[in-house]
This record gives sequence, structure tokens and C-alpha cells, in this order.
Amino acid sequence: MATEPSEASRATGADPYARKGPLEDVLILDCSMVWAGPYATKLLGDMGATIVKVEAARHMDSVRGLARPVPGVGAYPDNDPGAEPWNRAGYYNKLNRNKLSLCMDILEPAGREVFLELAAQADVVLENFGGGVFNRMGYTLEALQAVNPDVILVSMPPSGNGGPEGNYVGYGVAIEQLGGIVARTGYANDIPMKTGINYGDPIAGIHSAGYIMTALMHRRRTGRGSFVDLSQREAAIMWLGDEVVKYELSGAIADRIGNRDAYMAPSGAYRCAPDEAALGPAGHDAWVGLAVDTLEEWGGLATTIGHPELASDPAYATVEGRRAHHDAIDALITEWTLQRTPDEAMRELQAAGVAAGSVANMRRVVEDPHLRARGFWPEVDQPSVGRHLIAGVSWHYSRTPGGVRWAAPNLGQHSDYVLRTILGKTDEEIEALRATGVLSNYPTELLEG
Amino acid sequence: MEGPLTGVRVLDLSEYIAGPYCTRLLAGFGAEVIKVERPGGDPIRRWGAARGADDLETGPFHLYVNQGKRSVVLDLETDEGREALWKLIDTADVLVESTRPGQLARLGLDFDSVARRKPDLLYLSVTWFGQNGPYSNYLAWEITTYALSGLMSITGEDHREPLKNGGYLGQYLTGHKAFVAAMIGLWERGTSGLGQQIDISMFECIASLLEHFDMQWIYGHTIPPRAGNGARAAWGLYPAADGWVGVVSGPARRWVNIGVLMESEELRSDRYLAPGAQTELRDEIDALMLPWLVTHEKEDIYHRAQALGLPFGYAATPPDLFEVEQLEYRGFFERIDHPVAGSLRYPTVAAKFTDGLWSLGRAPLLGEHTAEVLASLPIEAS
Repeated sequence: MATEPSEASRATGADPYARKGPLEDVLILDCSMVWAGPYATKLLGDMGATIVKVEAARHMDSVRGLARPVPGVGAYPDNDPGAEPWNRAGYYNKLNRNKLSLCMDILEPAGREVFLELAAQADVVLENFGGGVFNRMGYTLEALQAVNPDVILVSMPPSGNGGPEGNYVGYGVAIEQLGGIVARTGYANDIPMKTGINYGDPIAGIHSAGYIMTALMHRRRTGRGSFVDLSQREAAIMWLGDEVVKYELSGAIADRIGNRDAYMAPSGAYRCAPDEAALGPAGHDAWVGLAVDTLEEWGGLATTIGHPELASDPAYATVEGRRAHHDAIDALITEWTLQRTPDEAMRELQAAGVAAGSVANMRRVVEDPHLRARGFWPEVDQPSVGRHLIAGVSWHYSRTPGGVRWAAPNLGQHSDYVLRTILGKTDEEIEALRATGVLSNYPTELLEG
Repeated sequence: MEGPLTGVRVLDLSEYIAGPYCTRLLAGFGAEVIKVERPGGDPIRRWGAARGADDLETGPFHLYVNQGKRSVVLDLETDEGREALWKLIDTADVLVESTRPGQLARLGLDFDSVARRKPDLLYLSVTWFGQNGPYSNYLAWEITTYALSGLMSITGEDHREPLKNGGYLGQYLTGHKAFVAAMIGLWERGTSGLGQQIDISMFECIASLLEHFDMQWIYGHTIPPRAGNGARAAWGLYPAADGWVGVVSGPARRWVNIGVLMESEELRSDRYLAPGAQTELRDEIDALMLPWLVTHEKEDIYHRAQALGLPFGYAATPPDLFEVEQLEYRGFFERIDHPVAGSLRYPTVAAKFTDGLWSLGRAPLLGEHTAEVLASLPIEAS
């Protein structure tokens, strides 16, 4: 079992979890699981909000993985789940840095009481269960307002609360379909394609973070709390708003066009020479992506690939003209890219003013010199896995920078800390709670065999 | 209606999609957004415009992302244009720009210069690669950043080329994150009274979306392949009678309901729940599901599955969305009139707040508010 850093630091008087950053005055009680909700609190926690992540020993966040995982599933250090896999899962550890782990059963009476004491202190309570689930657990808006009249309660079920689909369930994989993204993604004249990630989740998470800030600003201005009823499906649709308006204007539905572009030509991914130095064992999967908008960009491309005559050919002077010759242009580009690695092609083309980028795999993106120079991959020391890189922040504030202050917690790592520092509980009171079983740091399924 | 940002003035110098989408959200929550456009207008006005190259008013991107703003045309290459902009800066709380680093410095409008005169201004730079680093002067379009960020390498099929996401998700993503960043900046400014620069790049925004795949390299030293629509049965897109349906068979305790839904005794077999079975027996499972799926309509399948607690979806298109009762119930689409484009339905915002908080009108005509905004500025004093 990992030690609790605050024990050591209490002796020196320094609190490693001391509130710091632009959101240092914000406390969020986070009951969300998996990706969408935790992504919202990752964004706000990176900027200093205090995030109390609530899990229970019989209901851990599922991205901690199975207590005894199936071999080959999940991202563990050196592919070794270890004795406590739930504290070593890459998926969980990426999303839950800068958070405090409270492992407490909030369905048991003693846990319910403590949860409501925390809710009374919190600015925001966040959940991302299926529609109606949190209410059925007893945590209605009214119950939370009874202890905290100005509370901001954020609910983010797949299609919002209420209405014919208010109780529907969904994962990100379905949300990106329902929101219209999947119908737009795919190879030309081919079937729809999922996006590679469960895109519905981060979309809903980013929306959620923004609406939490909106409700906080409203409360600062008026003193009033809010119920924020977010629809994950609507969140995805907002990112395709132009398509909706285009359909309204003309009745047109966009085709799937692979890597081509409705407003540029050429546009595509072009095969390059293998590059094991940059791409590792997948070095043969070597490509460069590019798109051309203006005549100037086209001139840069045509000249660089050895066909300066096309730069001044009026047939290629417009996007429409180039689109009419797209296959032929693609063949000429590929003839040239096959002689170069993705990074060589990118550098030569960028020098000529062409928007080209190496198609990076996970190795190449983690090693990317630009991301490294901007501090996007900091290292963090997690008690059960040691020091590793982690994706950092994607915004840079000049005066109040955010960042990764501490690693994702082991299950229940901060239960005592939270109860002591936020609620002022004594060691005896905490021990009494532990004795009832509502506080635990060990998955119930393992205790029950 | 009063919104949480009523009284906040935003000067939006940004172009295309990301920056303007950020300020659309600020406007929706009550900010006054002044869209400063070059002579000839933001190039996004022309994208998809139905009435030819001279049509600056009916492009679908423009109509959507520039909703609720005022348009002021200023030529920042002239002394008069810059002078007017400085007066506007004196009255502003937030400035948003999307130029390549260095371009505004040439005009004396970079963050340091502006901060000297207006230290409480929040200055958002929304760009492809950010303000520093080896690629900061690179050119990009949507595909360039999808490529470099790693997302493209895991989208599509393993034996085919890597695939970009459809639409312009990268720019909406970046714009929406810029909105969150602006709100955090305004929150902090509310207590400190100080501005700052927020540097946000699309490259990093997309690289933040890699789910657990970057951890597979960092922790496990493995490079995930492109997995297409999924590597196991009953999880992914399947043909329906009228389109594509998303079959999602989790959680395991609900597997039996796949058989119930598709009226197949054989599908209910525990055999398909054994570890790895849904990968190994994929063809067998697909053969049992397909006859039922292709004889039912996608939305019918979706609702029947949900009634059994199965988290299905379907590949919706814009006309599908306008027929969804749930979206109608929530009033997600709002009809708004525009003097050139006419009366159209627009997406509003994805959350309902107790006190409303959201309100947004139409996109402005190019330069529609130039005279009125400039007339409101103080007469030259310096």
C-alpha cells in the first residue's frame, strides 16, 4: 500500500496538495467515471481546482481496469499489471492526475452522510452516469440544495435529462455516431468509420468544463447556483454546426471523402520511405499528410516535387482545377514522397510554404521535438508505477500557468486527507468510518474472492 | 437576457473556424463580441457560400460560427485602422487572434505591446502550433495537425492509409478549448484584476485526445495499429435497412439482451461470453446478427436496444438530426432569420442551465456595424 504523501509533509508543514493556480478557490466533488467527466475535471484540475474524485471499493472507475485483468488488455508499465493493477492502469493514470482519491461507498448510510457534508462545502458536484441514475442513488438536485443552496450540479447523460431519451445509456463510441461525426468519417465512397478514439467522451468533457466555468461565473455575478443538464449528443453536433446549417441552406449532405477536403486540393496522406528511427518497429507505416489552399501554396508544392511547370499551368491555378486532376497530382506527389521519410518530406515542403505534417504514430508523437520544446510531455511520479511521461496541458497561460502537480492517485490514497482537511474530521472519526467498511482502499471483488 | 458574461467586451481578430467558434460561445453567454474583419472579410465567409465567389454572407461556416457578433471592418495595414483598433482595445476585456506568430508584432499588436497599454486584457492566441517551438512558423490545415498529433495513425484500417476525421473537428475542438481557457482566465481576472496571454494550439489540443493510446507507448512500448471499426463482434458499425447502426454489446451482463433484441436463441449462448470469444467467433456472431439488422431501420434498432438497456447508436446525418424527438424536446435547434440567408435552424448550446444563460442572434453582414461602433469611440485625445 502506498504511503500518503501528506503524512510525510505534515511533519514539515508543507502540503503538497495546497490550493494553487487560477482555480484555487474552486472545489469540485467528482462522481464521474471513465473519460467524459474525468476529462472535464482533468482540464480544471490542471488549472488548480481541487478535485475530490469519489469512487467506491465495489464501484471503481472502470478505466482502472479489472482487479485481475485479462492478459494483453490495458496499458500497464512494461505490460505488467502487478499486484494492484487498478493503481497501474495507463488510462486511469493519464486522466486523473492532480486529483484527490476518496474511496467511499456513498450508497451506505455512513458514506451518504459524509458525502452530503462534502457537497455542502463543494462549489460543483459532477456526475456522468446514464440518465436518472444519480437521482435513483438518492442524489437529486433537491437533496444537494438542501445542504448547499448555491450548489452547481452538473449532469451529462448521453442525450440530456428528461424527454423520450432521458434514461438512455451510451458510451463515447455511440455518441460520436449519434452526433453525426461517424457518418462524415471514412474512406471515399466507403462505409462510415469510427474515429480511432471514442470521440464523444472528450467532446462532452470539454463542453462540461466550459459549462462548469459558465455556471461559476453566473454564481459569482448573481449568487445563484445552477443545474447544468448537458447532452453529450448535442455537444458533438455543435462541432458539426456548419454541416447542419449547410443542410438547411441547400439540402446537401456531405459525402465521405477520406483525406480529401471540400475546400482544398490536393489534400491527402502520401506514402513515404520507411523510417524506423522515428517510427520504431512500425517504421514501414510511413506517411505525410498535406493540404493546399492558395495558389502560392500550390506553387511551393509543385516546385518542390519537381514539377515547376504545373505551378504556372492555369489548369491547376484554382482548387476546382486541381480537384479535377486530383488523382494525377496524387501520383506525382507520391513519386516524390516515396523517396523521403515523413519528416524529410515535411521539412522540405514546409520550407516551401506547404502545410505538410508527418503522420506520427504514438512513438513519434511522444518524441515530437515541438511538443517536447513546449513542455507538453512532463514526467510525473506515480506511487505504484514510478516516473513516466504524461500528456500535459494544451494551453499556456503567461502569468498563471497550470500543469501536472501530482500523479493520479492510488485508490483511496487521499481519503483521510480529504476528510481531515476539508471536513475537519479527527483520526478517531475516520477510523470509525473505516471500521464500518464505507472507507476502503481495496476492490471488494477481491475480498469476496 | 442577462448572461454570465454581460458587460464583457471581446475583440475578435481571429479568422476561419477555431477562434470565431470560441467567441460564438462567449457571445452566447452574454459577451459583446466585435468581429474585426479585414477589407474583403474573413475568408471563412466564402467557404461553402452558395452564390458564387462574391457571396460573403451565406457560407454555412460563417453563418454558424459568427452568430451573435458585430462586424467592424478595419484595415490594420493603415494608421487609421490601427488607431481605431487601439481605441477598441482600450474598451475591451478580451482579445482573440489567430495569426501566425510574429504577424501582429509587425503591426505593434503583439501581446507585449498590447499588455503595456492594457494590462488587464486577456489576450488569446489560437493557432495551429502555438507561439514558440520548432514548428511555430509552420503552415497547417486540418490534416496537418491530425497527422502530427498521432490521431490519424490510429484512425482507419490497418492495411490502408491513415485517415483524417471528417468535418473540421480539430478546429471546433481548439475553439471550444479556447472558450474554456478564456473562462478560466476571466475567472482568475475577476479576483486579480490582471490580464495575460493564453497560447493555445490545435496541435496540442488534438494530441490531448489520444485516450489510452499514448500510454500504450509510454507504459507498454507498443504502437497501436489502426483498428478500423473495431476488432471484435457486436461492437461497431453494422448495416441496417436504411443506413448504419452502432452495435454496442457491453456490459457483459447485458449480452443476453443482444439475443433478445435480435430474436435469436443462438446469440444468447454463454459460449460468446468466454474471454476472447467475441474476437475469435466474430464471423459466427456477425452471421447471426446481420439478417436481423439489415431488415430493421437504424432508429428502430436504436430505440429497441435502449429499451433493453443496450447502449446502441446509429450513424446520424443532418436530416436525421432534425427528426429526433429528444432534440426537439430540448429545443436544441433554434430558427433564426438572416437578411440574406433567410430563416434557418441552427444548433444552440449543449447544456440547459436553471437560469437559461444562453441567447444568440444571427451572423452579421460584412461591416454591418463599422459606422456605429467607430462612432461610439472617443474622439482622438492623444
